[in-house]
Amino acid sequence: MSAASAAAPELSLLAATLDKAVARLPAAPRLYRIAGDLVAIRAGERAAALLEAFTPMRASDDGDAVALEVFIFDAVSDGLALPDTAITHRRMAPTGGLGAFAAPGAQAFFQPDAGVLSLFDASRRRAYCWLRDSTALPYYEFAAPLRHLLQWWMLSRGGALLHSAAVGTRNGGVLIAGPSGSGKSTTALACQEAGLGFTSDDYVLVSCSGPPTVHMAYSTAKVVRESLGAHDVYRGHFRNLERGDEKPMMFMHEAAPQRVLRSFPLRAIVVPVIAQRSSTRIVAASAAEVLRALAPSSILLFPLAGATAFQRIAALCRAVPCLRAELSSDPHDVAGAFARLLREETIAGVAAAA
Amino acid sequence: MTDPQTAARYALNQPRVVGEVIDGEVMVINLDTGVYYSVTGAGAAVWPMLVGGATRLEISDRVARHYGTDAASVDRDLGTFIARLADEAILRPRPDDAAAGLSDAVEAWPAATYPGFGFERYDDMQALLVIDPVHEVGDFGWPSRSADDSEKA
Repeated sequence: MSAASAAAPELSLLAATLDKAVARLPAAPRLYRIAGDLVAIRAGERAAALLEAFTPMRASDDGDAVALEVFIFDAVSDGLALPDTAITHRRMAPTGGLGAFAAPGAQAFFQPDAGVLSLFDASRRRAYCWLRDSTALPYYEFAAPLRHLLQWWMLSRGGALLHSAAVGTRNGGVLIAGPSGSGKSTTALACQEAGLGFTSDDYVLVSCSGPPTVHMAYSTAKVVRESLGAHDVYRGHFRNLERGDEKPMMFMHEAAPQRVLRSFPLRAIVVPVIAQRSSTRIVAASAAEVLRALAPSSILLFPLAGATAFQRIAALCRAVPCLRAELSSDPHDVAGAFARLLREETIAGVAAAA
Repeated sequence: MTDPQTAARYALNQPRVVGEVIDGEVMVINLDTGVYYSVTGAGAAVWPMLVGGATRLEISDRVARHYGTDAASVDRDLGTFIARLADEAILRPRPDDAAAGLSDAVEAWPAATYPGFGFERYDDMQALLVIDPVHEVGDFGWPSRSADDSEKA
């Protein structure tokens, strides 16, 4: 029996348990406009702490249909234990990879260390997040909450959640793609400090069904501890300063609300390369080079994203200019180069020079 | 007599492996191991034939004819290339009875002269798969960790 078919009854059992417990959550949902659609999230007070990163996307009830309902449970405050299943035991986890489970129309992923179960029911447009103890979550769950649920939801509606930074203006912007340590967070922060809109330093939503559009997923910005001095203006906004093993993080809606850019049309994808040049140079890159920078981490960080996410990322790389930014060590110079790039005629010129 | 090696047919090892042809290059990701690969040169051009089930003989013949080069040396290169792809579990053997209606399409040929079969392996993303490592669970069950894990923590 395959893991997928064996998972189906277990997924149903977990979904039924979580569904039955929905009545324990506050009846009034918090509304957010995420990737252009209305998302209703129900969570108790303890679990709601997880939602701070979504603050810029808070929405009011304007009569729009809800595209996704999300239910977040805290096992401590909501008194909800999960049934003993292979999913939560991970007996069926494939060797060597993150264990995730799929059945027709449903996906689940359990993170044993963080104590987080994510379960997505595509047919009912319902998503469930169960937390063992929301006060004991690692910082990255606050930095990028519900990311597995958002990934499955975006994939089900023609988009994707990507591992990428994003900056721009309302008229258009760029994805800054690369693995951790490639300079994308530093570049995104430098750009926003120089006046560009900030959409992401790590994870971003992209709608692909029409002209590619980039949407903020989280208001979070993180820095490596060693570079805190370079961001002293925001020192009062950093969290986690007392936790030496965690990256300091802040929320852009607190630190620089005027820089929050919730969405923009995608104009180009840029791969930053730390080059120690005297001045930053942005040149054309091959779509393959950009796909190599963007796809592996976007896919491997997300169980069950697989082939669909890969096809969608490749299509994005074919649809917009692909560029390489050879960075100087001066953040002001880097930001200036991106600001110049965002004049549309510059992007076209760079791409045409390929 | 048919040489079983040159007559073998292959398919992409889905769903563990995904591949995309882009810009004269094939990018392949093994979703189980986190290793990813770049295929360039003649390998990228004939990728649709290879994963579509064409035999090694059919592919080497097509490459040799296009570049006007020695078929035997192309076949040696192709054999080495296919062996690496098989070693990395990128390809799996295709049953003989699945040979009907196979693709003979090629991508754009990448160079005027025979470029060989380029293959690069990248393992810098493997750590992503163990960000949230699986812990052993004892008889008392999840969500409690096993005694061993508690001691390690």
